[in-house]
Amino acid sequence: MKITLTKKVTLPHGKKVDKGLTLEVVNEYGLELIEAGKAVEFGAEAPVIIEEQINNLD
Amino acid sequence: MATTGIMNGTLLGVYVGSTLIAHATEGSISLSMDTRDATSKSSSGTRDLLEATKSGTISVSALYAEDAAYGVDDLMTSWAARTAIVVKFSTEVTGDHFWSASAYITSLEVSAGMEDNVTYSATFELTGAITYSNN
Repeated sequence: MKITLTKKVTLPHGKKVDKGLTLEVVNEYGLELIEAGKAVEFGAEAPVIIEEQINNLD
Repeated sequence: MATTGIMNGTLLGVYVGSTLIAHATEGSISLSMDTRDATSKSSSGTRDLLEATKSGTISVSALYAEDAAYGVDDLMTSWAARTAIVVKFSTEVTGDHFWSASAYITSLEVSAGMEDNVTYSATFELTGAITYSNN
């Protein structure tokens, strides 16, 4: 599954990757990161940005 | 739901330690089994075979990117350390079949042609049980 990281994560092979990176991982690991609040499914981050933009209209 | 119809090869990817090998252009798995020659004078002039070791390799070719989530840098680390890694050849679509096994990197080639993409290819020699199951 394709995910976007919302926090800095150390991947299973030891590599540290930054928040904001979009990558594809096996479903099991992707769900694990999403449940831990470290990632969102790719595309799911867009509404948050729109919401922030709406909040900043003033 | 499993993929229907003739599958598009783009769907199948090579995952190492949970992460997809980025920018891949080709992926394959090759499974084989050795045989024992059991031919004897009793074989009536034809060769008799018996089963022996099963084995397999997974190969991948990809475009080189320094910032890939999993790329040459990570493959180099595993190759240099001579550590076994878990490799999965999968669509990650629920219901689709996948292959998975521990493996060693036995080949890693990087190619850089003039005014062309830098590419690389890697071969993973599978060790131990090879899982063939459904996502």
